Formats: sequence, structure tokens, C-alpha cells
Amino acid sequence: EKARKKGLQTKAEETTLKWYQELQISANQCTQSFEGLNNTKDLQTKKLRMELQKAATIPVSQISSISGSKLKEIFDKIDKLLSGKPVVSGGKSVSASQHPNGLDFVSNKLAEKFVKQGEEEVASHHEAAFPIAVVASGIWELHPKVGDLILAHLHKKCPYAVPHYPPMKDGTSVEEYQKILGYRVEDGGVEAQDSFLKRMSGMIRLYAALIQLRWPYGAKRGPDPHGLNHGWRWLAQMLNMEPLADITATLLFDFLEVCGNALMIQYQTQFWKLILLLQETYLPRIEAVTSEGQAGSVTRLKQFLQSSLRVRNMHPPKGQLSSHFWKS
Amino acid sequence: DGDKTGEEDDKDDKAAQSLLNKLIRSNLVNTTNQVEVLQRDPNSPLYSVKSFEELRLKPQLLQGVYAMGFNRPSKIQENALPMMLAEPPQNLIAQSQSGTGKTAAFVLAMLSHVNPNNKFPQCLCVSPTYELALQTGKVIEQMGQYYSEVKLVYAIRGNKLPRGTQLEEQIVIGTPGTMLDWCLKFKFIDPKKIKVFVLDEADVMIATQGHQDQSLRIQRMLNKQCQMLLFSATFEETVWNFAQRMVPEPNIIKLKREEETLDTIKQYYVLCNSKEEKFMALCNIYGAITIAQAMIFCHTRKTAGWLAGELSREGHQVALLSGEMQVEQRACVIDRFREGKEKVLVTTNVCARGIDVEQVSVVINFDLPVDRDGNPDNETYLHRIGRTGRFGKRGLAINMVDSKFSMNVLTKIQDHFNKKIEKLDTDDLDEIEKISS
Amino acid sequence: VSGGITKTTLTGGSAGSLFTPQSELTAEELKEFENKRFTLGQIPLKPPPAEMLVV
Ligand SMILES: Nc1ncnc2c1ncn2[C@@H]1O[C@H](COP(=O)(O)OP(=O)(O)O)[C@@H](O)[C@H]1O
Repeated sequence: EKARKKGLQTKAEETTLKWYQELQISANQCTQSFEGLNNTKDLQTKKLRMELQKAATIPVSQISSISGSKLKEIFDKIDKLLSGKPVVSGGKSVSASQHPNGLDFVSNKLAEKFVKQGEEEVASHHEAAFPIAVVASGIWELHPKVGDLILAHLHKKCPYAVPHYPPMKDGTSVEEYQKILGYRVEDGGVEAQDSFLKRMSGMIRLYAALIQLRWPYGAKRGPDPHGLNHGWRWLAQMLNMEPLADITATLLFDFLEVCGNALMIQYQTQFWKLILLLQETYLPRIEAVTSEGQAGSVTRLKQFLQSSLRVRNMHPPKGQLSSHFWKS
Repeated sequence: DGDKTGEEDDKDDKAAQSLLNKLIRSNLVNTTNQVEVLQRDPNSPLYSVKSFEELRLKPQLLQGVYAMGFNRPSKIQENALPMMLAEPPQNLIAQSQSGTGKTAAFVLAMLSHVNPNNKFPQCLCVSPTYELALQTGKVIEQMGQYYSEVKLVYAIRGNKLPRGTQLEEQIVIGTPGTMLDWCLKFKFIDPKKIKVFVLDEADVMIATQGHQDQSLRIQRMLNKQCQMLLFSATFEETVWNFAQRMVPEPNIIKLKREEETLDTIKQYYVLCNSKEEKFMALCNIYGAITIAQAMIFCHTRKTAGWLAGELSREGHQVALLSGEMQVEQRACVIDRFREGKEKVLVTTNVCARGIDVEQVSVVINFDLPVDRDGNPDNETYLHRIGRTGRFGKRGLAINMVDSKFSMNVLTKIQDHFNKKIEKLDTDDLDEIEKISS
Repeated sequence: VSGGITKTTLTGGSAGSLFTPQSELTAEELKEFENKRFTLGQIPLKPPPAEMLVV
């Protein structure tokens, strides 16, 4: 019988952390499995690795909101690759079954690539989250292992996506710790707060899009590969923890703007209870840790909550793919 | 391939350049230089603000500012905003490169000075072209999204109003000719009631015949108490003379243009034997690194067209920007590119001269920039590849070399900047991956 | 490639289900869902039961 916790916590619940760690462990195992392929000195194998990597990553970089048929083409290409069938890339045919660890290799590359696309592209262009997420969701449905790898990569780059606030351990250097928290650290120093927040926003927006989207051409028989129940979990876990200055307000806003509407439809009154708690009790806690010059993120969140509560509605996000899109 | 037949020679159109740069930009430009402030009254205290809250804005406006995603004032805004919002109003001449937050600053000033209960024009803003006026209008609408009592009207050619109209909108934005007509000929606007007069992009303005004179004529109709604000990205003698005639007793703010540097950029070159090989190298690079958006420069229109075709065949979403396009078409291409509809922008050296590509993470010189005589064009190289600010975005530049001639150009560029350009073997995955980490 | 690789079911119920059966909630969790308000720091991580969306 665990002791009843009072008030806000400083870290995520045991189950959350365990899940996070298991994902990291199995992702590491996956990486180890193709170490031979990664470090090969054999020219032929090296060439194969290059072709596999291209076959995995280039389609992801081509995802855009241009048309549904284009997305389907991309999806089919990735699905074929993950099914061990030959795909043509750059005029050459390649297949993951050409190497015993080929599938692990491409699965991992794909997962990494999806997350990077969120960090780079969604960060500077929010609406890009939807086409990327819908393809990722479809791939996840057919190839669950890729899904787990996506989570592992996402969590590593953005611990707030767990959400997890890694504590500073004895013996960790400040620089190392900043990296663990998701900051880019280079010889020039640590990256500016605005640039860091922008990247984290990109990844959270991608996650928020992922949990609510489903590939429209799938069989749709099973449950969502990683659905809105995770949206509930993420939001509940965030609100159970002590807020972090600037970060918490920024990410809550990003998350709600993208999947608040879907959560509202799914969980109805229970969702509004979350929003009320956020507005009445949690927001003042955020404000208490906010210093001068950080008011932007809090104001945006506050404004969003107020206007949603006023009209008792959370609007669908801008850039969502319409049924019209899928006919194009 | 040295086909010079497609060589473009479009004129260096300042207004078009300014517009395209506005469209491609989604961020503040990094600046490390200090702002220089020359106060009209050196004895009055010099205010600067580090946060928007200190400005005591109307709540609707503060909300609008934050809704735009701003967190804190930019360098130039730190000084310019307190001056522009002061009572009594002060005149200002401000110069800083584009992308440093001037537009956002004067829009905020106009919105702050408007009395929404008065249903007549109180702020005038003149811009060099119709398209630029529309861009500023968009900023006004965004920043004023919680201040719906304030209305905006465009004084631009084509916007014809019935004679005798009395405008009710508080803000009028437009081009000098139409604005002058609206004040003088049609009397839609009563110049004596104007509280803020903004002249944007003064350097672009004076490049157009007649604009200088029209602007001055508008200015002379205004009251002495009207606040005059003038902005410019550059400050040559001619701009300065014009500014002094336009703005009496000014405060002056200057922010030196940030030098572009190659310090934060990783530069590489790839050896190829033909344009087909260059294309293959490009594909390999794409497979190895995450490129949110890339811009690829070719020497001729012909090569650009060919490359765009090849990339499309590989499934890439490609946009092609070329010199024969009208400004509106080019603007449309850039807008789509910024929205991410297309991820690769292929363009010719000439066509994209002067476009700021700081937003783009990877720049590829499919052909190296050379001038008409085939000599290395160092200035273009620097502008295209260089980045500003020490903690600015990191960038990656890849140069394709396909002949003795182009190797020679590359070596000269390298010597000129005294910065090593590393060789990259695009058949070696490990090597390409390393460069992007 | 088949089957997810992690075993921890995070959000209760059968993996991937959007709601939690009431039988799988602790007494405290159930109370949180029944009450008009959530208690700060006590929001259940499991999604609400399907029959408790309106309270
Ligand atoms: N204080 C600020 N914080 C963040 N972004 C800003 C700020 N001020 C302006 N921006 C953004 O930076 C870009 C350039 O600003 P702008 O006002 O157009 O500059 P300029 O008029 O000097 O070219 C625009 O995208 C604008 O939205």
C-alpha cells in the first residue's frame, strides 16, 4: 500500500519511469544488434548500409502537406522496406532482407528520422506535424517495433515528452546535465533558451499529433497504436508535477493547441475537469515560478485556456489534414 | 557545362528583394552589435526595456504581442519602443538591417497611439510598394487581433472609394502616390488629425522616382505635433538627407549591420565528374542528414530546370525560382517554400542574389558563384553561406566541384576567406553523417 | 518485425484501450473521477472509464 502523495510531485510516477526505461533498454538492444552492420569495414556491406539508410530516411524527408496521394506513395515505400521487400531508391533496388540485421537497422533509422523531422521541421513550421505524424502513426500500426523506437528517440531528445524531469545526479557535469535536459551544448556554449524551447515545442507538437491521428488507409481493426489514452496520461502526469519555469507553460500550450480538441471529444467532462484544474490551481503555480521576461509563454497558455473556457470549446488545430486532403 | 545562354540579367530590384526577404523570414535576425542611440535631448534619461511588460501596453496589445510568439523585445525594440511610446511623442529615425524587428516596433507604436473611439484616420504608414504595404498590414492585423475596435484600410492603387467618403478606419497604410491623393485630392483623410506618421523602408522608397517628393508633400500637410517615424535598412548619404527632411528634431537609433561570417558554418566540397554525378552526391547527402529545407544554387536556368526535374523524379517536392518570373510569382514560390509545401528550393545564382537564406539549414552550391567573367564571386558566396551572430544557427554549406576550373574557383574562395573548405566523400556514409552532428 | 517490445502497460486496461474499466481503478482513482474536481497532484494517469465521461 503506497503512501498517499500530497500535492505536486517532483518526478513522474514509478510506472511512467519504468516504461521510459524499458523503451530505452530495448532501443539500446536494437542498436547493438546491428553494430556489426554499423561498423563494417567490408565495402560491399558499407554500400548496402548506405542504400538502406537512404531508402529509410529520404521518404521521410519528402513528407509534406502537398497531397494525400503523395503521402500514400511515401507510406507504401516505407512499408515495403519494413516488410523486407525490395524498394527502388536513386535508381537502385535495395531490400532490408539483404542483411540479417537489415530490418533492425532500417527500423531504427526511420524512428530516429521521424523524431528529427519533428525537431527540425515542426519546430519552425508547426503545421508540418500532421503529415509527418499521420505517416508515422500508420507505420506504427503495421510495425509496432518502429513505434517503440520512435518513443525511445523522442524521449531521449525531449524528456518532457515522457514527461520526465531528469534529476541532476552526483558526478554529472553541468554540461552533461544540460544535454540530458535536451539542450544543445557545443564548444560555443549552451544554446539560447528560445532556440531550445522551439525545438522542444516541435517535438511535443509532433507527439500530440501522433496520438490523435490514424492512417486513413489502414485496416483500422486493432486499437490505436498509441492513442489518446496517452494524451490523457501525458497531460495528467504533467499536471501532477511541479511546473518548470518557461518549459511547462510552453509545452502545455503546444500540446493542447494540437490535441486539446481531440481529447475534449474523447473524454468530455473529465477533460474539462483537467482544464479547470489547470486554469484555477495549476496556472498560479506556473506563475509563481515565472520570472520577469518569461511572461510570453504563460500569457499564451492563459489566453488559450480563457478563450476555450469562455466558448466551452477547444478548437481543432490549424493545419489538420482534411478529408479533402485525402482525396487529393 | 558552360552554357551561358540562360544567363539572366534581371535588374537589382530593391523592392522585390525586400519583399522576398520578408517572405522567407520567420525569425529575428541574430545581432551581437550594440545599438547606438543619439537622443535629441541628451539630458533626458535614456530608457530601454528588457521586457514587454515594462512598456505598460494596453492589455489587448500585450496579448497580441505574445500571441505572435514573441517573448522579449529585440535589440532595436529595447530602445525604440520606449522612445516611440513616450509622452509627449518623440520623433525617431531608426536604421537596422531587415529582420531586426522594426516593423513590429512601429506597428506596436501605431496601435498604442490610436484612440479607438475616434472613427477617423489617426495613423498613416507609407510603404514603397503595394506588396510591402500588405505585409505590414498583416502584422497590424496579427498584433491587433485582440483589439478589434481598431480598423485598417489600404491606400493603394486599385482601391477606389466614392468621392466624398470620410474614412472611419484609424490606420491607413499605403503607397505614397495614393496616400497623397487621398489626403490632398480626394480629402478622404484629414492630415491635421494624424497623430503618427510612419515612413517605412526609406532606402527602398527613394530608389523609386517620385516617391520622395510625394512623401514630403504628405509630411508637409501634417500638424507640427504629429509624431514622425522613419525606418531604413541601410543608411547611405541620400537616405540620410531624405530622413532629415522628413523628420524634424529626431532621436536617432542605429544598429550596425551584423557582419556575415563563415565561423559558424561547416563548409565542404564534393568532387564530381558531371552534373549526373553531382546529382547522385546530392541524393547521398539527403539520405544521410536531416535537411528540413535546402536551397540549391545553379549557375544557369537550364541546369536549375534539369536538376529540379531529376529531384522531382526521385520524389522530392521541389520549387524552382527563376529570373524570368514576375515578382508575384517569385513571392508565391517563396511563400510555399516557407510553408513547407516544397522542401527544396532550386534557383539560379543571379535570381537569388540578395535573398537572405539564414532560415535555411543547408545551402548547396550546385555550381559555385562566379561573376560574368568567370571569376569567383566572393561576396555572393559569403552572403549565401555566411551567418550572423556568434550563437546563431549553425549552418552547413556544400559545394559541388566538377572541373579544374571550378576547383580553381573553390581554392580562390577558400584563400580569400582564409577558411578551410573540407573535402567530403559522399560515398562514405560515416563521413556524411559526421558533418551534420 | 512484429509485436511491441515493451511489456509495461502504462495506461491501464488492455494495452491501447482508450478507457479504463472501473474494475481496474483503485478506490482513490475512482473517487477522483467521481468528484466534481480533481485534487492537485492526484489526477489518475489511467484514462477515465467510458461510463464516467459525464459527471
Ligand atoms: N521581439 C520579437 N521576438 C521574436 N520575434 C520577433 C520580435 N520582433 C519581431 N519578430 C519577428 O522577427 C521577424 C522580423 O521582424 P520585422 O519586424 O519584420 O523586422 P524588420 O522590419 O526589421 O525587417 C518577423 O518574423 C517578426 O515576427
